[in-house]
Amino acid sequence: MIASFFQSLDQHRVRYLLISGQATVLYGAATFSEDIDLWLDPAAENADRFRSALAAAGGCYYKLTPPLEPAFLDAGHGFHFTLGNTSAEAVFLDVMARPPRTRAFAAAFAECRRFSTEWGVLPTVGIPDLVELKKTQRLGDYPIISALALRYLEGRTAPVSPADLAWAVANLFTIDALFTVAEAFPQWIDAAPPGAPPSLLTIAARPLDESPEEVLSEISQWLARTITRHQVADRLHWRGIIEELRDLRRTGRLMPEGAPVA
Amino acid sequence: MVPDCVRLRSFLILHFPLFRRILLAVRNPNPTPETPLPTQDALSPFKAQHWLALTPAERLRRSWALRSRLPDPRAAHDRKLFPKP
Repeated sequence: MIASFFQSLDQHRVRYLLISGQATVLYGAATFSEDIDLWLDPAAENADRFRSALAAAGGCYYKLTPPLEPAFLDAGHGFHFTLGNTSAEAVFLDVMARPPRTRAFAAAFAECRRFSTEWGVLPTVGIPDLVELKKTQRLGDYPIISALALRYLEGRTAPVSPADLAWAVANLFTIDALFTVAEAFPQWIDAAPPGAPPSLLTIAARPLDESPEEVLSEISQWLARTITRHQVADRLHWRGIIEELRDLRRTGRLMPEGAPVA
Repeated sequence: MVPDCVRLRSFLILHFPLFRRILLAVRNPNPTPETPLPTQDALSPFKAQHWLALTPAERLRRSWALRSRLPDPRAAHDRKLFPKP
């Protein structure tokens, strides 16, 4: 069923990227995700092709989904669908055309990675874009972001540049990941994130086990504050969109849950 | 102050991908198994390197297979996507 859905996307020449949970699994930064998330090229004709592909694959509308129209695509709404004939076998498909914190689709698509899987060859968003997407309100996303940053450094075939290091360090949110990088790349102190506590600079090339408790405590608090900042920014991002969704529901303009995509 | 030997190692890590991969392999306490581990073992946090040793396609296959163990995938999805205030 899932393979035929992706086949349908290809047959209809839909431009999309696999994002979020399944992308993090492919990169090895997470072990499980229960749904499928796509980033759709927001061009109106691409949305039309997507609708046709989804109809051909037997997709149905799910909760809180506005019409697949340019205004709602551009406003950053999420569109929710199910695939599968019965409730028991339903697969949840979540789609966005303007995901939060991302750049233009074409730029991200140009740097995507194609993974061969039993669902087909999946164009998957690159790690830097995926990291931005994962800066959500869910605390559990931050260890995954840290793992993605490590995968990014490990996967570099070219020399690791100071910019690579600075980017990776700014996206480490666990003590373990921070020490892994600090031990392997002491040069990162030259590009320490702004606002980092002075004690952070003392951990370069020093194993986690040898760092004093007060240093670990200070770094943990700094990481927690940084995570909170991202969580608040994500909450503010969704505020206007949720308000518009409420209005759509109040005025009966949401797509009816369970209706087949036509 | 970063010692010279650490700076040298870091220079090698930064500029020589082969050295970086060898170093990461040496640091890996769990060598790649000759036959892939069962999913439950590969998912153990103590065997994270085994999960990374799987191909991306195999990780996706095993991850999706785990979904069948969810008692209520709909509830799990909705909890994540539509959290109650």
